[in-house]
Amino acid sequence: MSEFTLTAAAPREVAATLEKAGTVTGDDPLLHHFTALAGGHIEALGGIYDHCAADLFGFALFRTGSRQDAADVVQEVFVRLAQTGANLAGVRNPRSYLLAMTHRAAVDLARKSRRLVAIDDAVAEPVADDAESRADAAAVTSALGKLPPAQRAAVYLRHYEGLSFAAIGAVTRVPTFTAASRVRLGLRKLRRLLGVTP
Amino acid sequence: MIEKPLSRVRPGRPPADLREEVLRAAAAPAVRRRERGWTGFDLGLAATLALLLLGHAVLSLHHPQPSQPTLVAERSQQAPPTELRSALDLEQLGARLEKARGASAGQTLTVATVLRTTS
Repeated sequence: MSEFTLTAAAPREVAATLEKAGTVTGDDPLLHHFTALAGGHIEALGGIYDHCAADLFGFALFRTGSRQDAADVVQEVFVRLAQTGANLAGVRNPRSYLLAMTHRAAVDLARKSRRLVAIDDAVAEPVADDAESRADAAAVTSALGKLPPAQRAAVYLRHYEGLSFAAIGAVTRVPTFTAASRVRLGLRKLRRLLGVTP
Repeated sequence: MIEKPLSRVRPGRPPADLREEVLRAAAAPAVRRRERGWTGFDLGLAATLALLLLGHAVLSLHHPQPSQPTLVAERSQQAPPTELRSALDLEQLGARLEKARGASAGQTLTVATVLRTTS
């Protein structure tokens, strides 16, 4: 696994922004794991992983386009989580905190490697084992490969996480207008590439 | 609608062995931190640093560093320095010697003679 830096302060600001935007869910089981981890119970990492690692991996996969890089990103996020320790006690929205950490780690990794990554075949998988779903998965993966990474990340956060434009901006650390533009441009390009009428 | 093809797919899932790998990597530094504590090396290093700081503080108290700009300022406000005063005295002495030489021609000049003649 490659090593790269990740700042832990930024996700806390993101969580505060998301709370203002009203995107924080009330009762979050992740909070219990975060509280336990902040109290020194390192085994709480397992609960956090089981709860949201698949989503973090999917987000990292959309952002990086590479399964190997996505695995590196997820590992870095959890290493940083373990190192943050007691400071996690103040986190009010763990999911957004983790998404912001994942985005930061993916950006850091892309800056560090400075290489063009051809998008993996398995960025999008079929939800059903039928021919139509498999064809959709192949088409969506191919279309995603033609989008810039920032647009892919915005589309993921909008479509699969259901975040508002403001929340997407907070996670990816861009203004709301920029986040909205990325989502719209990404979806428009996907429509054109997939031959879908709006 | 673009949502339809996107809904029929999902992002790729993480490999099965990623969980173990991630948790092992994440837990390792924390475990090391918990077990480590203060070692003999840490204590020795801390004691050495403390002694160095103490020694520096004691030396600073006994040998204060002169402040050159302050010294120059103070000297400029005091009386003329000794070298300047000596130069003025020599000038006066020369004048008095010339006067005594004219008054006592042919005699051996002594300091007493000079002082007596010019006083």
